[in-house]
Amino acid sequence: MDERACVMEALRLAGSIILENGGETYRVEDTVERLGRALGAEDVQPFAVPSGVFITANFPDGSMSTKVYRARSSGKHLKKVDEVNRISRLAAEGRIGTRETLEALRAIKNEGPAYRLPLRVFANAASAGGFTAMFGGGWIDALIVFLSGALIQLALEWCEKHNVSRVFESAGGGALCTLLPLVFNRLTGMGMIDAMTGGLLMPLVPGLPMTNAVQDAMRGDVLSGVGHGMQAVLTAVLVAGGGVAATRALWMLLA
Amino acid sequence: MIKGLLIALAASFIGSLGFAVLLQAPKKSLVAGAAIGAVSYALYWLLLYFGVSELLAMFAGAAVGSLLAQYAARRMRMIATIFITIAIIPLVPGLALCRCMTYIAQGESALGAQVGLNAMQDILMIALGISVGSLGLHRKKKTG
Repeated sequence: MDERACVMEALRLAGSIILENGGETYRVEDTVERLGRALGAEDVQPFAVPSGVFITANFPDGSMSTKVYRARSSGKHLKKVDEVNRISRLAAEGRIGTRETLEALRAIKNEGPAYRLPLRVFANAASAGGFTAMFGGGWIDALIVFLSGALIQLALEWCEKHNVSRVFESAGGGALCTLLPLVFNRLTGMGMIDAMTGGLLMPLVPGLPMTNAVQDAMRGDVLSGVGHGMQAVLTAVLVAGGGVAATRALWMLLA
Repeated sequence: MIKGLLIALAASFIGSLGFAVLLQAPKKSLVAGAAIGAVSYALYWLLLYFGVSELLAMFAGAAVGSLLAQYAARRMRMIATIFITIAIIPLVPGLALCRCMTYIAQGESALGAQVGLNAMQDILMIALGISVGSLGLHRKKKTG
């Protein structure tokens, strides 16, 4: 690969990693522009939307290159976003060259999950328990939610591993989060259903994406704001739909 | 009141900490981020307790959370997004968004609209709070 191709590939990698792991579109544009100039491009024009990045760079010899990248996956891996940022800063300070930057970015792209499965399961369990207490649930509620949270995270991880579609994951997750507290309440007569469901649903409900969408729009990235906002509304519909369907089914079974 | 405040602090700390692991935030940022989340939620809780309106409490919680997040990001040389994301988790009304959809699915459109509108107001207040909080340290910002 010649130098220029290396620069373009590094820019594409940097942009795509940030975009697909939970970074904002403005951060994609900002980082790509900064990195491009650090690696020797004269004028870099990046354009990012939630579904892709377009980068055009002009080089000092008068030549010009463009890369288009269609983003398909989107997850949350903030560690990767932070690492790309660190690499871009090192490049801007002149401490690493183009090839090292490209190597480092490739390594970041291929990195696995930041935390192991048992820890992720425990994290969801603890988080759900904590939020249940925050919503006014008592000790028993938090404990039951802790166990249910572990179960739900295992189910979600299974879906992730077997490439189950996002639609089913959200609806199924919503159904589980609503059913487990309900069944517990029916069996024992104990538990604040509202607080328990609320705690369990926290990782699924799109509060953060919605807030990010509003921030995008306020920053002037109207297109990203609308895109993220639509995604958030759709997720809310799916999670709620799953919950409502599961509740109906349970009542029908009991009736 | 002290007991309620302590529960709010501890519960939101554990909640944000677990959530931060799910978001795969860097190890160094976990405890600091969750602590900021707990402080901003505790502030929100306190303001509500003293009768301040919901929207103002949301705004204040988000603004203080964002300010602390900017400070932590600078101190630890990380991007502010990580800390802000973790810090506002306890505040975001994701649950209300879902309740809104649930009510609508059950045919209670008016109730759903009301809950949804409240959630949107809260989200706007959080977004405003984050912007205002970020202004505090913005000019000194170096890279990324």
